Amino acid sequence: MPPFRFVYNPKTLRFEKAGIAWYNLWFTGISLLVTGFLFFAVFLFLQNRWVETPLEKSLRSENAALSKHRLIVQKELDASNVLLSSLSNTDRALHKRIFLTDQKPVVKTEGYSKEILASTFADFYQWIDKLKVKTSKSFEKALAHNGHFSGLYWPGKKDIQELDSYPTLAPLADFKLGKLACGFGNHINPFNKLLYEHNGIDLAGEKGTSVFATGSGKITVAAINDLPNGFGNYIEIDHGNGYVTRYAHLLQLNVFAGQKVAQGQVIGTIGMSGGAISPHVHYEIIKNRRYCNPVLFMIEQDGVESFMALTELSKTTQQALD
Amino acid sequence: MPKIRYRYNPETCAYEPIFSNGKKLAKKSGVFVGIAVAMALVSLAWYNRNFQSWDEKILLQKNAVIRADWEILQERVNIASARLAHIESNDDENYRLLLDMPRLDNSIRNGGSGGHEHYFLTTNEKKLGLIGEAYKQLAKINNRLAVEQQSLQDIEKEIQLKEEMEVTRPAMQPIDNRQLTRLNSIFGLRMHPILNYIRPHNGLDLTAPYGTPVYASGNGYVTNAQLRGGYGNVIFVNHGFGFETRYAHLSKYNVIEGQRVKRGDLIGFVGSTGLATTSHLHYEVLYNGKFINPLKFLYSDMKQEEYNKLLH
Repeated sequence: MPPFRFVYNPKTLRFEKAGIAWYNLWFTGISLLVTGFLFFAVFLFLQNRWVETPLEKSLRSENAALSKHRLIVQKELDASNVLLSSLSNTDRALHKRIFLTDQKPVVKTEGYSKEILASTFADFYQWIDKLKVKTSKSFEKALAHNGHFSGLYWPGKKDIQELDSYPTLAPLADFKLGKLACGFGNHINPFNKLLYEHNGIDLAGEKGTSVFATGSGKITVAAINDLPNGFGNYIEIDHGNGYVTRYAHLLQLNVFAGQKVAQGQVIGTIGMSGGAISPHVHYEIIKNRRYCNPVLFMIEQDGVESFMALTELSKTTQQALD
Repeated sequence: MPKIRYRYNPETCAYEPIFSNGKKLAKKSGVFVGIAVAMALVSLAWYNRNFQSWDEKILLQKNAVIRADWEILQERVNIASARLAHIESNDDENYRLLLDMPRLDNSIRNGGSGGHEHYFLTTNEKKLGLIGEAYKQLAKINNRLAVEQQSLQDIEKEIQLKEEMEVTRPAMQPIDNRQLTRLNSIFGLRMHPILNYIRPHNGLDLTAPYGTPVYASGNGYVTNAQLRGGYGNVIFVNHGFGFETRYAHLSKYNVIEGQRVKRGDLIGFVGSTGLATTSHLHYEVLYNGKFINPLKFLYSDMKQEEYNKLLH
């Protein structure tokens, strides 16, 4: 037990027991806290300065490595990009030299996506509602038409045969947009660089690729010609109803004149016989002795978009391959 | 004035004032500092346990910035790769197809950088997959670029050859259509107007007034420019690729033997030398030594109906 402390009270002239000095205690406590905090700050600073945690160490080395190699990679990438740009220029120049037209940038069909993205929330619901109304309307319309036509017409076996005879296929199997080397109409003759009427389309392909009959019919011509001009080896098919198709510059003929062929049957292979500068098939459709644009007949495509892209592509004036 | 405190001393039965000396003060302040330090240590331990140190924080921020830069770099690498892929697909799908060249195999394009170890990276840097991956991709792109450059050069050579073939093809009418008075299209057997017996007519007769200029129908070089019997003054032009053209019954030459001519060059003038009744140009086209109907190479100068009329 600590000894009592006394204070002299001058009013009563007596020694009295001293009470607990609260303010003293407070003072001591606060100064303790402040000193403790100061020590804490100093320790923190020192720790920060002298002690390195494993995380810090790894981060420091990682940052150093990353920033060092970023510069190197960037430099190398810049060098590659310079080469790439020069290659890209060469590519464009080559395209111009081969097709005599500029390369077209790839166009994406966007539809309404931009408007929908730009619209606000309320607009968006309006859009959706509009679309719903539209789809339901067209669905009803389609149902009505369907009912009308099914009431009117039911194709028999003979009709289906007739439908098969229309040249609606593409003469190549893996037919892509890139393979349409030259469309219908005015094009540049490769030999004298003059404009001339190109009566069919040129579909490029590797030598030996199969060529199909685009519709069923009867072979009227299967000619072999080894002169470097004209059609070369070519096949002509009479489909009936005034439709005639021609497949020129073939390498091999798998059919003979007078033979009947079905739609999609292999009739020959792609070559560059006749007046051709590269392996391709020159495909013509003649209706009632008039040349038609075969692109418009190739309706058995993946979808409307690819069909539209095809027709758009066939409009450019570029060098033909024969 | 501070209050003086007293202590009751039971031995002397008196109140004695308490004086503080240095020793006591030192002890007191030592205790005070000790407590303060203990508090600081405890709070430091607590802080370390619950918070990251400042340096870690700063480093982490820096790390995030650098990693964002790396992401941009990665994106740039991807863009470069995509651009290259576009050129490659053009190369494969268009040029090589049209030029009748074999396609480049994918193993050639992507080969040569598969399990490549980057010896210059330290083990620490190797642990960061990011760097190694970037170098790998760059090496791949550089390899593809080199292949593509070579490939484009090959294609260019092939195009050169093709263009040469195109310009050497005798695809032009040797006399301007406006100066042409008549075109005799008989190719094959016919009665010779002077000799009066049936013999093959191997060319095309282009009737035009005396002195009308005659143009070379394609690039080539003159192998023969002299008087040759029934041909009269004749020019032989060798076009290469198996083609040869002959221009006969000329009145004058504009070229000498061995001279290179281009399509459209003036090589001579129409006359009636040799076995000819009137001034005209006798134009022949040979392919691999055989006569072929020159009409088949003139179709681009006339309309389809005219051409069909002439052929049949």
